[in-house]
Amino acid sequence: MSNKLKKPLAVLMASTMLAGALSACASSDNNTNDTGSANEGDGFYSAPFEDGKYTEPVTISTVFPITSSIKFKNGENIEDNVHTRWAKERFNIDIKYLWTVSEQNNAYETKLRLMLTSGQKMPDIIAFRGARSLTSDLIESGQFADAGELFDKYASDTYKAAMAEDPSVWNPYIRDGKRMAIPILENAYNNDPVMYIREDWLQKVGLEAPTTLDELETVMDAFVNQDPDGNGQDDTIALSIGFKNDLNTWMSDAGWIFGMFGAMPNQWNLTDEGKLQWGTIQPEIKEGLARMKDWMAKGYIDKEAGLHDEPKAAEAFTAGKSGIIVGPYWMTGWPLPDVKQNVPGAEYKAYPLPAGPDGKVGRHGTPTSTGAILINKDMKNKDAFFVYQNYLYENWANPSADSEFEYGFAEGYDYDFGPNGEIYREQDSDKIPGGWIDAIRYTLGFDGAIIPSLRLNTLAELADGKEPETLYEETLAQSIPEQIRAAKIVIDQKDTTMMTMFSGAPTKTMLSKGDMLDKLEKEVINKIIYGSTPLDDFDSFVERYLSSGGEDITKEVNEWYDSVK
Amino acid sequence: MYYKTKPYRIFSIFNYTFLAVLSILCIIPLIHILAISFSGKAPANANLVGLLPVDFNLEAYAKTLDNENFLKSLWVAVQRTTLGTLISMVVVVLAAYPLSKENSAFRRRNFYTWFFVFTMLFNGGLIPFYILIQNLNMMNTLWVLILPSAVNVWNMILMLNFFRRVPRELEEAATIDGAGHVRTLISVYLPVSLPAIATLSLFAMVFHWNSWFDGLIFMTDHKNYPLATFLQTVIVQQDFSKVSARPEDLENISQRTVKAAQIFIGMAPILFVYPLLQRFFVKGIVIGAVKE
Amino acid sequence: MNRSTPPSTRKPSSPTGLRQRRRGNWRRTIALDGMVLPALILTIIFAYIPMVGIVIAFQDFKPWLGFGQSNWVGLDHFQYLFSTPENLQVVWNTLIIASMKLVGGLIAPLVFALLLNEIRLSAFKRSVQTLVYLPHFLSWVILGGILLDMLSMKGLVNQVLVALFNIDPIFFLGDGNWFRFVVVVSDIWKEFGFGAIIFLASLAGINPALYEAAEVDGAGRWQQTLAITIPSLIPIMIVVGTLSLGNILNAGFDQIFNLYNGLVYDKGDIIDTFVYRVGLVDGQFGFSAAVGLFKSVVGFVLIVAAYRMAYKFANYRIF
Repeated sequence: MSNKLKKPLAVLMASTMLAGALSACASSDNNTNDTGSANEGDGFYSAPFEDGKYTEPVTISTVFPITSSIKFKNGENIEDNVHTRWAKERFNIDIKYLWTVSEQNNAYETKLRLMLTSGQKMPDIIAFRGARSLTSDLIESGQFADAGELFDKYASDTYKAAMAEDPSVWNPYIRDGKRMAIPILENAYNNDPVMYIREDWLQKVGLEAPTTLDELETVMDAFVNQDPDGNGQDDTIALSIGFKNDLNTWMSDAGWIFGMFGAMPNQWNLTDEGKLQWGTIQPEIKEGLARMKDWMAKGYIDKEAGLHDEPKAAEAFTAGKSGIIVGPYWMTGWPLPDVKQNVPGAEYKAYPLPAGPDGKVGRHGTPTSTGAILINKDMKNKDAFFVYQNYLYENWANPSADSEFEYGFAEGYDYDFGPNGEIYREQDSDKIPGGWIDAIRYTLGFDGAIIPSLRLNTLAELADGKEPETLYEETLAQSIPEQIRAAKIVIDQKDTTMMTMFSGAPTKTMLSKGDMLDKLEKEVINKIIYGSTPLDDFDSFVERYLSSGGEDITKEVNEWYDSVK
Repeated sequence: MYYKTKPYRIFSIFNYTFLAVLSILCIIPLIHILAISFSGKAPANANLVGLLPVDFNLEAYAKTLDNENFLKSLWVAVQRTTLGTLISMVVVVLAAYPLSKENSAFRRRNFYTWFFVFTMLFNGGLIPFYILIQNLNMMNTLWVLILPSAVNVWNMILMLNFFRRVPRELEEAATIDGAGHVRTLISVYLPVSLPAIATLSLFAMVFHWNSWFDGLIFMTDHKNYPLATFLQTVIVQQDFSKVSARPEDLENISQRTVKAAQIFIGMAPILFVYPLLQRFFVKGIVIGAVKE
Repeated sequence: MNRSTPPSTRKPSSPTGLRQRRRGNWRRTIALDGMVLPALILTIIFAYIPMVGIVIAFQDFKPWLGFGQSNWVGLDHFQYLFSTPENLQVVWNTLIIASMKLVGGLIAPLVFALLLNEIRLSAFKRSVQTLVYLPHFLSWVILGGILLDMLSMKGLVNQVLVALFNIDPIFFLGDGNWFRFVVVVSDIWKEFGFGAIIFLASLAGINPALYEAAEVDGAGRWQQTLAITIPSLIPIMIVVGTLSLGNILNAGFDQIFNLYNGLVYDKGDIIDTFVYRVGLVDGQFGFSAAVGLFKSVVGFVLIVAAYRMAYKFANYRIF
């Protein structure tokens, strides 16, 4: 009811403010250059805009998943916090949350689907990371605007440059040549793996870090049989991997074993003929499986690796019972440091992935984007989202010295000042009243604004001894040394990355046969590694896979690839 | 007396031992969780904690109790459980009484019973239910957690079976005294059915305390989550394949000790209620007392 | 109604009482209707109205079209469930695991309740009862992790087995047959204490005078159990057993989902995990509704059958 009253009032206010804005422009022309021109003319702003903000309140409605890494303090919540106040103050944008949900058991996805089904009014923008079938459904509903067109019109140069780093990020959202959603950018190489080895174990057994498969096997043999933890018991394993979910996975990874032979399981690889092929059925996989089977038999890997998921497999390493683990550079923040606490004197170091018999190295890549933002075609002020997001790209992604985000998003949240002006950051969480809170996580696109190539490349440059110059570099320079070193190795080996090439919605045959094939694949792979099925069964598996739907899927995937290429 | 015979004594020794071992088997996981909740972070994350805490500390509990969402959701859960159990029991007992009658006394009972039983198995799924709740304007209210589950058919059927065991003479005496159905239910049926009522209340309570999915879907604001929903958030492992994990965030997700503490605190109230209700069904006093 | 036989546990009522009731005091029965009314209204609103959604099972449901406009696909979803030998195996696994759980889940609490009933030390009795009731409250996410450790090759259970019987460690969660065994036993272990409550409540309702009379007649404890305790538990047992038949195709999603892996798919994959995986690829509401409907129909048919049989053979109306 109060809304009805508010509207005429707002219009009235707007018109008076517009007059004020024009006069302000006339009087002081050294203002930021885009304010006056945009008011009319090219129609950039849908509402009066001055000094970087709307002169009347503009609303963006949305929905939001609260992941477990989002924390609040001072009695704040997602509807009212330092971020929403900032948006109001900075742009005069009111962010209205139709609903929020704890992100667990796919609840966000379920609620979005229910929302779609029940014919509820869609919010102005939806940011979603996850199942592509949902993004497809949302696009199919016809309620969302051609986001690509809006992006071209409204996005700032920095935002556009970040998006242009990897043009394939648009692929999943292209419908009839239109880009129906704006990809949410992530840090490139973020999940690309490196190899962590217990340095003190290497010294104990008197070996160098392995660079080839043969050397790796020598090291592994020593780690298992020479009692590297020195407790007199035969209780160590060499390599922590967990393939309960997948061979090629985000931590405790085993994908690189196959990369040494030139293929990557569980993803669509680009073959030399320029076609896409499902990695797990490529002939190179067989050689990788032969190694894993051998390692399982020799006790290099845990007898229960097939039962372990990613964190479970990492436990052996952090408990000091395993010598090697492969995973992203961020493992230096979690969980690896635990091993130093659990085992006095434990040291680990990041190393490049070893090369296979033909000198090949291969690792899985990190998608530059795993989600997207959809913009409602009925959104009143579509420019408002870009005003907001452009600002973050200009000022947050790689802040300049005069940025308000010089030290972080908000004082008292992700940074604070001590009595003598010293800066407290995450490491000094207990010195910040209420603890360190990563307020950038409250933003509409989840992580503020990310320029994909920036983070890891900057870390690598710092590792090479570059003096930090920009604010971004200074912040990153405070990372722990292991992390900087690991990031450098990721970048050094970046040519070995094998990206998954298919990013479309699930195809027809995937829907009808996908699960059956996936199950068949997992069963056979597991049984071969565990030795309950001979290695040569791999060949018959490939035949069966192709004949019972795999061939059709390959065809459909390549059709998709041709359509976006 | 039978319990003084030799075979029975041998049986008793076996019985005591067996039940003691069984109890230990059931308590071990809980002790393990308790030990984790009192342990240091690093050993807990590396799975080095067995049945005794390693690096004993109380940090996990301090953190848990410091989380205002935890206390809020605890309060929602208490409200939901109290009100939900109460309403459900009233509705169930009221319906179970007529349904416990024989066909000859209440012909429509068969129809009603099957009408209810049918809903135990068939349901329309989440989508129409969601639309319904929306149209009833019950989104984000406590009622959505209480009313849809109020007719607990399972409890209703157990209740009507317990009611059937009420000695008929008692009821007939009441009828002759001119008591109506409601009075017969309250003054005759309820007092002799206390074990059953205690049991079914416990079932309803446990149901409400443990339900988390409805809270997740129908509460549009995470501040209104009941405890079980809140705990789900904490326990579920995040999948890093989809997000740009940064080392800075990871601190937050690796709190196995906090998770353990929260599980334990979450269980505590329902454990506390149990012994209170227990006395109603451990001793067979009730009917005997009435019979006198 | 000549067939209105009173339940077997009840003594037949006096002829006069029966006649009185048969005369059918309208005002008295309308009061009975009134007592059912609250439950009736709630059920119609929250259970029957949403049942229109069952149509999804026969549709190629598209969220943005709703069930008014989605295409009809007839029995396609049902066909898919039975289309391949792999899927049939999944149905079969479900049936095996669920029926073992059903039987075990009925017998274990009953035996436990009977054993506990023999404990005369009240403090011991109460403690045991409280302790065995605890596992019910732990979620499978947590228990799954604990079981993974306890049942590992170097875990507690294998250590005990190796020490006692000098056998090779058993790969409990990586061997299909053992996997089923673990799933059933751990489920019984988790739920028997909670399941026993209903039997204990039932035991509490037995008139102590019956035991006293038997004692006077010189019956031993075993005879008392056979003659008094067990018969008095039979009705509730039939009720619980019949109602759990409705779950004959629910083998426990949370548990399996947290424990299964590539090594045991052939014996451990169940309908619900299958539907979950298919749904992950694409939010297939239609398929999962069809599977749900299939499970409901099977469960309902079994319940009706059990109801009829109990009535025919034991002369007992379950509900």
